[in-house]
Amino acid sequence: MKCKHIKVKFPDFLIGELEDISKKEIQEHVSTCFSCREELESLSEIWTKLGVLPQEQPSDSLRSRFYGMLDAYKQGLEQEKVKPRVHKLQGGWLTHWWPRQPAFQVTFSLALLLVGLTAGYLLNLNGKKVYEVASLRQEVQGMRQTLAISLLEQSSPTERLRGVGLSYRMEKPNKKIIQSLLDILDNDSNVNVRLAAVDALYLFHDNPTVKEGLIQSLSRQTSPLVQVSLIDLMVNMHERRAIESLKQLIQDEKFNPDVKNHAEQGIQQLTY
Amino acid sequence: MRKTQLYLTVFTLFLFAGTLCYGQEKVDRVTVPFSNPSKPGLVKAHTYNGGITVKGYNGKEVIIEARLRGEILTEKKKISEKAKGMRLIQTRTTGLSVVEEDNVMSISVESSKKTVDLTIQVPFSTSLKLHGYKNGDITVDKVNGEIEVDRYKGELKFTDVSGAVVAHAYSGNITVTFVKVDPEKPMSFSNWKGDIDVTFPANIKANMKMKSDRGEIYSDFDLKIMPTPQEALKGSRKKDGKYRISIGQFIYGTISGGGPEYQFKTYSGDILIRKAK
Repeated sequence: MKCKHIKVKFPDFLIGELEDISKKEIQEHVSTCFSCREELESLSEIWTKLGVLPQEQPSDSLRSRFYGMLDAYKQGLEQEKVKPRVHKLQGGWLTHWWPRQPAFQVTFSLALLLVGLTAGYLLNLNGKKVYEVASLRQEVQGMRQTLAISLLEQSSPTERLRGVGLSYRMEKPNKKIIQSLLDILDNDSNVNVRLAAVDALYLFHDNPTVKEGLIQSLSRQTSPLVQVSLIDLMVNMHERRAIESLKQLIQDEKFNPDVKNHAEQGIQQLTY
Repeated sequence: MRKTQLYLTVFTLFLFAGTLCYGQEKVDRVTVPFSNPSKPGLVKAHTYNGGITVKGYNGKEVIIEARLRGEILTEKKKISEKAKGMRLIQTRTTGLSVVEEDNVMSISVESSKKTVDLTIQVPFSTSLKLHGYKNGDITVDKVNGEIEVDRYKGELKFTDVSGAVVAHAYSGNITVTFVKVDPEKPMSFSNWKGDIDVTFPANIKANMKMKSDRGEIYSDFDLKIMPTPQEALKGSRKKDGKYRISIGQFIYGTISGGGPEYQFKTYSGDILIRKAK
């Protein structure tokens, strides 16, 4: 953000049309920011090269050519002056119809406008309606996805919860949403948001990326509450591949004994 | 984000007057203003060892008190043989530090060995993000805003709060009474051990999502139980012709037609959702 803001001022800086404060600001920034320094250096190089270029001198023949062109233009103008009369003659029958009073002129224009609008409306009614609804629905779906992704990246947990809530109301979430949900499941700082993500992802467990992500996530979770939710999920998914990671979990000492119990029950249900 | 991003106030307090107040509780007290007091600010507080108490008050500034919990008596006993005849020189500080930037105030206590309790008074409209580990409860009283709390051990007690709450405790009861809720925002309450007891105003509209693995769920709201989204989805997807009912999932319900989603999840405690009287 800062770089963008600074870069805008580079041209003025080179011309020397900046106040001292901004100049100082740029110099300070450039001394710390490598990319900006590089850009300023290349810009100033171009600037000095431009200054070195010799100024173009008009040749002698230029003068005569210029006046020649000017004359030709003048001639052309004079010919134009003849034409408008023809136009006026052609427009004669129209002027006959055109009302003289300004009030009538206004009403006449309004009436014409109304006719045009009605015609347009009627034309639109007949065609395209079905198509429009479909495209509108698609548009809403797309907007919802963008909104969900932007909400999932917010710093406030209630906004992220809203994002998770939005994404599980979607019929077909795109890859980006699925990836954001998996990221949240693994990395979100808030346990409540991670819990909501488990539930949302369950809806899309037919998706192979989701299934894989859920199985992988089990060993990464630190909160027993999320671990238990994931174990429940594996059981509900009838995911036999999860048995292996559940067995590992039981052997691992860092897990809570209640979670281990839960995992054992889960294995029993899965093998049954 | 702005060009003039300035650290408005940086306080780091060290107490050297230890020998003077030997035998007394140590209290550091600072008052810090927000950079834009006309807008509601965000107060973040982080402790490892000790409780946090936040109270809304009728003022513009944030008043912070860090209190070193009375360990001084036991300290006397600890003076070892080799130091016999000598006096203990107090070097302990609360390690309180406060940074304010762009209406966000970050309060932290550096220590992990000693117990420091934080008491923070904030303007009524303030958002909170509180994080603590052990030794003490987190209480919040009369604050209106977005309240995010994460606690490992200890109770969470929120009284007369408004806005939205996202709270998690590993072990400890969560008790919340709302005066008003934000009609737009979702909420979430979760813990591993202990009850979740939340009192809402009678007129709320919400979608409830509740689960207790080992405990029970109680409510005096008129709760309409809904099929889970999973069940609804399965109904339309009868690929293999089997009908599956998933047990162990959340229970979904609506209050007054539904609204933002409130999630409640506990492993071994009970969930109590009360209507304010």
